[in-house]
Amino acid sequence: MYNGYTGTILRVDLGTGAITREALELQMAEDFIGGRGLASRLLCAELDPAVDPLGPENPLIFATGPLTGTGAPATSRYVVVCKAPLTGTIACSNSGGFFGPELKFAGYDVLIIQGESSEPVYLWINDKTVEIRPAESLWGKFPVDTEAALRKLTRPTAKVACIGPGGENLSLLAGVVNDGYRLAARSGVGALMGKKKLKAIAVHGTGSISLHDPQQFWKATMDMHEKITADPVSFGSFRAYGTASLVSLINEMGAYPTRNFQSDTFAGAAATSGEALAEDVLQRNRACFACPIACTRVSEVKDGPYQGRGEGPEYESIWALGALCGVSELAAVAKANFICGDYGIDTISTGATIACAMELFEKGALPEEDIGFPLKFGDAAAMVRAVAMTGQRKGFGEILADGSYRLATRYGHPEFFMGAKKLEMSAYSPRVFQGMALQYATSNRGACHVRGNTVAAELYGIPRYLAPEVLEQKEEMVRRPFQNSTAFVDSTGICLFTKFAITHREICALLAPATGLDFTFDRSIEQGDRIWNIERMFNLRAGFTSADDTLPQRVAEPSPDGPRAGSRALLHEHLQTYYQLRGWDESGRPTRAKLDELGLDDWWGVCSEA
Amino acid sequence: MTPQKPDTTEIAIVGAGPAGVAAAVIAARAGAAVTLLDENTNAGGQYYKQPTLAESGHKYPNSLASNIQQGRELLAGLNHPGIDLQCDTLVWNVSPEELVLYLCGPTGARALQAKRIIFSAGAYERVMPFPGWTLPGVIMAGGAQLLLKAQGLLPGRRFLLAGTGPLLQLAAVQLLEAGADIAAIVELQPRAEFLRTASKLWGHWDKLGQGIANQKKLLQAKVPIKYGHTIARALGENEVSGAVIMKVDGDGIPTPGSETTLEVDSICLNYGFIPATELPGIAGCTQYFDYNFGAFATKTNENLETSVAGIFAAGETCGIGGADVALLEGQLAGAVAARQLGLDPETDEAKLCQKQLQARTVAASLGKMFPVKPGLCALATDAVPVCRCEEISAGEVRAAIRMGVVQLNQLKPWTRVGMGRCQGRICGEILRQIVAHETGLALQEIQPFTARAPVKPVLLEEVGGAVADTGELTWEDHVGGYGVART
Amino acid sequence: MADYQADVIIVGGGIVGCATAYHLTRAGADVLLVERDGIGSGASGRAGGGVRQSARVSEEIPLAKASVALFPGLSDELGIDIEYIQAGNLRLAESADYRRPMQVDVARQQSHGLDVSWLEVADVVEIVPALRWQNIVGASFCAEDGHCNPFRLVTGFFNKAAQGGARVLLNCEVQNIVQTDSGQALVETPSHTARAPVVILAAGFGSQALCYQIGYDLPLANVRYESMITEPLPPLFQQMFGVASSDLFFRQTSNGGVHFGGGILEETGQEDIRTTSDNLQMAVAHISQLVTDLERAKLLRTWGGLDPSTPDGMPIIDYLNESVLLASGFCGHGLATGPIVGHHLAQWVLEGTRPAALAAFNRDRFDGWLQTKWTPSGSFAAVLATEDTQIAGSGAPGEGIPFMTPPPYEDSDETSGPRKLAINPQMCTGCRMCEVACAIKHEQAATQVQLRIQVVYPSDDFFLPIVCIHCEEMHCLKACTHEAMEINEQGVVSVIRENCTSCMECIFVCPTGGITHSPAKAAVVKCDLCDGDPACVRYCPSQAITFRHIDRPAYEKLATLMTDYLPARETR
Repeated sequence: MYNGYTGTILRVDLGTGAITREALELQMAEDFIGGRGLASRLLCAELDPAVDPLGPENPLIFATGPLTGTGAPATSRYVVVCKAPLTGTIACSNSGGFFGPELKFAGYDVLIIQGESSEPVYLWINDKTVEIRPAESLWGKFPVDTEAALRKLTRPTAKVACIGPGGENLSLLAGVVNDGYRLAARSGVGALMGKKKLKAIAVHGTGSISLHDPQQFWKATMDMHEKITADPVSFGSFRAYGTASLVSLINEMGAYPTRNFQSDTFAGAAATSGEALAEDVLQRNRACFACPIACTRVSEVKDGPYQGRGEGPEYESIWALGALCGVSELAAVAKANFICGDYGIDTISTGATIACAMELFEKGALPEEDIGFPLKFGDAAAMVRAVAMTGQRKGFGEILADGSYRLATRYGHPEFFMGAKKLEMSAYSPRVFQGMALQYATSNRGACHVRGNTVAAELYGIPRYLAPEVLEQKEEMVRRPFQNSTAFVDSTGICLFTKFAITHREICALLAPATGLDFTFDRSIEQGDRIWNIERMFNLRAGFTSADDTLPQRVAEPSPDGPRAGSRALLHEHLQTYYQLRGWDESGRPTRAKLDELGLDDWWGVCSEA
Repeated sequence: MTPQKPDTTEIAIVGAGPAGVAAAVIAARAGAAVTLLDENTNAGGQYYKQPTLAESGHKYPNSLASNIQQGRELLAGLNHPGIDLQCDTLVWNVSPEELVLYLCGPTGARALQAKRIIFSAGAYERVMPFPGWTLPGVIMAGGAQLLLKAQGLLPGRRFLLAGTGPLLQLAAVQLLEAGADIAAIVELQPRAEFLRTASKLWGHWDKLGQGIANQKKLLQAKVPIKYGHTIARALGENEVSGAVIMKVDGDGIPTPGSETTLEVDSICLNYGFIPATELPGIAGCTQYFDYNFGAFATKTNENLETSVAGIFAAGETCGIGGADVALLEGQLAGAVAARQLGLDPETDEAKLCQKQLQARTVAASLGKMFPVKPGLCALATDAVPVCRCEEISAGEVRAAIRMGVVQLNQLKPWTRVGMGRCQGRICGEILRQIVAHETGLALQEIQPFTARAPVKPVLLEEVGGAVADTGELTWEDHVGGYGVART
Repeated sequence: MADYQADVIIVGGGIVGCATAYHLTRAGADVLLVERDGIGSGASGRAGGGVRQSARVSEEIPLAKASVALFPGLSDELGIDIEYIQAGNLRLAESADYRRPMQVDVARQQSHGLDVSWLEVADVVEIVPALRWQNIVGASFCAEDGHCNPFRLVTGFFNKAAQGGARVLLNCEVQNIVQTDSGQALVETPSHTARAPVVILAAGFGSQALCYQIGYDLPLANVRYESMITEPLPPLFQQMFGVASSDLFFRQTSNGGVHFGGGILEETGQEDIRTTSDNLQMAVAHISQLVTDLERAKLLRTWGGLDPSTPDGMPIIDYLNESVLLASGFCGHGLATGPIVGHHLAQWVLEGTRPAALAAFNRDRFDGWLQTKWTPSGSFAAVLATEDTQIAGSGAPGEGIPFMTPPPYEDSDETSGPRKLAINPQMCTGCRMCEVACAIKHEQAATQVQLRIQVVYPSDDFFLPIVCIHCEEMHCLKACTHEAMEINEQGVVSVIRENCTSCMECIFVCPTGGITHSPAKAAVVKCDLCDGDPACVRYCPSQAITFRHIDRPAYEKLATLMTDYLPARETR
């Protein structure tokens, strides 16, 4: 009997139409927990990481955690895992809303989509009955309209995860959109879903998630609830202004990268800050399943050229479509954010790609006739037009839709690509936050902030304050309390934003009574480490080496202006220490000892012999 | 009562007459697993009825002997490993969605699920009522042939054959050869019409030859053939002691005063044939009105597929056509069904289609020659029973028709016609003729009874037992919450 | 000029149409009856034949008693043997679960003056030895009920009406009824037109299309069942039988055939009279478990049955405009009441005033309620308001008011009376924590069904938890006739699960949707304020639900809020 888990993995082969159910092995649950960990382990067993990311062998895995849907605070998360179309690394895009819990109520922990369909289909999961149905009429619709249509085709209470036209056009920036606006955005997982001609997954579940020890679970939920509602960051500023509250803070620190990372402060930051957003664009806040924080923004630009409505923009979107492109017109940034939502494409990568194009254009490497109109930093209308073209993959959008790495190399300036392993960096300058520099370089899915957001320590002092520019102990901080810990949290189905208010102890205090399995604090770090290492092995087999654990040359040069002028990313100093702490050899490959410690074996013979 | 899993087969064929056997042989040779079902004791259907009594060396009249021999050769094809012949098995229901047949056989009730179904259940003989038609001694001409073939038994001594169509003369010859005395053959069509059949059969030497041979034998035996006549009354208290025949005009209306009485002890009737369409009807296959024979039959396309996916119809069920058409259509249906399952029947279906069409046109032209005109119903005076199971008279039916009740499905609850054990198999066509006669409606405007399970009465035990577990819910699941009572 | 002119045109040749035609012609009215197929070809002719007063909704009992009293004399009056046998109606309970609810229901019917009683199995088998006592726990028995040949009953009335001068058009489908300015109704069929001051619409499920054209949305669902009959058998029993789970009926007709049926109460959109092998086998298996030595009987025939059903199980008899008088939706038990309804309809047309006996069947009893849909399992399901239907009072209050504002009502110094749940939609973020807290408190698992509180999402920026607001009127307590509701220590109404018979009266009367039905518990569920410390209040992160004394004006605002947004409720 499973508690916390439903114990069933649903496998759907779009090629043959076969629908099978497998039992979840308890041992794998104990080692890899669920969500990111479990899905990554399943992915390693499903395919050889060297395959073509858009080929039929690359499965699309939707995985929930043991806490998803149990009703503890912020337990709404699910992940989409596969080999990343954009980067070729392992992809694990996370999202909230109500889709994850509904999948659990329908009785499934993990949904594995294999093979490809010849024509557009959608998957209808109604408790025990699972059907693959034609989706001809849905193809080409925006996510919000797709959901409304599916609610009529299936049940009014169905929850939907789908792709927008971006995913259909196989844009490598496309993500999976659930509950209308929530995007599992990064690494281009939407492109794989589009390649499989899977337009949407509609789920309806009437089951309930049984708990091993309900009283104890309920008590643990109550304390976590108290801690979160008392936390100034998550329940305070995030609840009031969403993540946008970071804009002015990070800009004042001089760590707010601007104009494709050419500088770290942005004059227009105030105009696009959280406070500005609150006055004219925000309507109200909205929550994911059982979440006390409710950080989602329902926003609307009432009139003018950028009229539109939707969710967000969050901090990363405001930065990528605003400061990174030098655009300070909030309405334009919001509109661009709505367009990305309509086409189902990742706002960070899209903004970064357009910023890269702007730099190429301003430096004469990208002729105007290729684009069709001038594309300069700060030109809001051009930015919005470029975002729309990227989503429709029309005209120059054909090239923009495949990300800034391919754009920069195509026009002979690879150095203008601001990211690592083909994934664009996020809104924290690595010149200033040394921890983030190491994190961007070594993150398993490319330069992203959610694999270990050391800003929490370097800015808020959570779990303890380490100045941004300090180097010592940064490797251990990045490895243990951030990267491994995030790997653990992403696997439980609980939202990362709770980490401002709680630590692993509270999460384990939930996991044990929910599942009845042996989840303790020190096991959680070991589990995080195990997950990180199988992701590392996957990337090694996919052809990545320690040479890819690097950052663009630009961030190694001093920051030209702002309060932190002169600071630069000192990655090379602590990369080797990081490898040693990781138990890897100098070329960043896990050692035999490390594998034995974690109970892993070298499936593809990529680890070091030592 | 736990529902058992249905047995499965690739091609299920209902009716082991000429069409069914031909289909089974072709499909089995192509490698298909065939289940051939028939409610009679052995295969052959009506046309190739096989003797059921042991080989007692009974000498059959030569025309019967050749038919029996032909039948035996055809049936020899059945001992093929791919064919599972199940006789004494009634198919009483079909559910078209999952192509499941519901059977009652020697081993009790079962369900059989197939990938393709071929309905080839043949036809029934048409009868028109007249005073005394229900007296013992009045039987169908085909029925008399069956008694001869199956048991070598003469159903009487001195016979009158009445009705219309070539079967009467063939049956008369067979009865003669078996030692019977034929008082007369009474053929509805006028002589000129009958002779024109010869011109129609030009080119089909076997049929023509047989027709002429029969005529010669009847002449030798000095059997009087009265054209443009019909039987008007059967005489006798509790069995047939004689018959009255009368002349009829072009519309089938008897001319008063032309009665002549005959001393006979048996009357054999045949007014043509009616396709057996109960199972296709239950499965929802579209029916069409066959003008040539004045009855509804199952509609099929050139590959003999019906309107329901996976279901074929061959032989008389698709329209009266005789044994040759049935054999051709059996082969065609068997071949197409096997081909659809990915097997190779090594036949040229196009050529088969072509031959089948030709045979059909000949049969159609023959059919036109022997129409049954509604005027004949004048013979069925008000006292004459038209529904034998429920003993409902023509008068009661006519009273309801006068009240405006002109469709069979409305006549049924009104007068109880068609509510008996035969569920309208016999009285259905009689009623359509009477309604046409009374109201002037065209025959095709009067719809037949709605086909419903069971095809023939079956034991409740057998119905309740054979629940096909095709993933359906059991009755326990259907006990919903305590709801408001309905009836 | 119309082909026909009559005093009254009756559309539909079923029991109601023919009985009304009979009574009208007897009073000398010039009647024209128009029927789409044949007389009794619809629900009436296909019915099970039961003539009963028992197991009916309370409002129908007086009508049924009056009508059943007519039956003994009908064969002579109509000049046709309607094969009426009055030997009682037995409604069998096949499992102990049904004993208590049926006993409660028998008490209800007795309170309406019906001679009905609960019998344990020993007495049941005493009356009917042919029953298999092993599979029966007991039965409710009404001695005055009986059964008849439905078709002969209908034709009896028709013959008399025809003899009385009524004219009839068979196989003639009415396609439109137009109200002309001269106060007459014009009835159009493909072949004829007819004009009359009064048109009685008694076409069963067929009435829905015509009502729609007249502008009335008749809430009718067509429930399909199947009937079977065996060959004539030696006498077994004379009673009419039903079962508590109401999916089987059976009787032995006067010619000896056992007529039985039921099966899946599938709800179909159109007149579907299919018969399926599953239903057939289930009904045969079911009756074989209740009646001895039926196995050797042969099944002769099956046919499809029609149940044009309204949401509350009662017919709708009312004028739609000054000419058209609707009489349909008899939910499969109209045969017995047909004769008296015909009499009252004729009286209504002749005297121009609604007879008291038909008062309960007015059509505006559905106005203001949810557009509910009858589902076979007996529970009502609120129909979700899809985008194209207008949500009452839309113009979501969230619009324009900046979020984080105080609740729409003030704290009142009112301290008397119980504390209640106060809902502030502006604070609600739609996180459904209240649902989870309530589910874990009552069901020990985060379940998604049988919710006592449920958040609705009328638009992407307005969210509202729908829950019982513990109204002073306590509609549900008054409506519950099974003593399944009581006032708990918190001073609010709570459900006694064992007594609940899922009769849905409480759901029907509750204006704010605070009660839902739980098929798993076979009972209704509602908020009972968790013994004083509501879990939803404790775990709502945004203080959208608070537990306080609220004054009358605030309560009224809350009630209208709930009623407005109830259609947006998700059904699970």
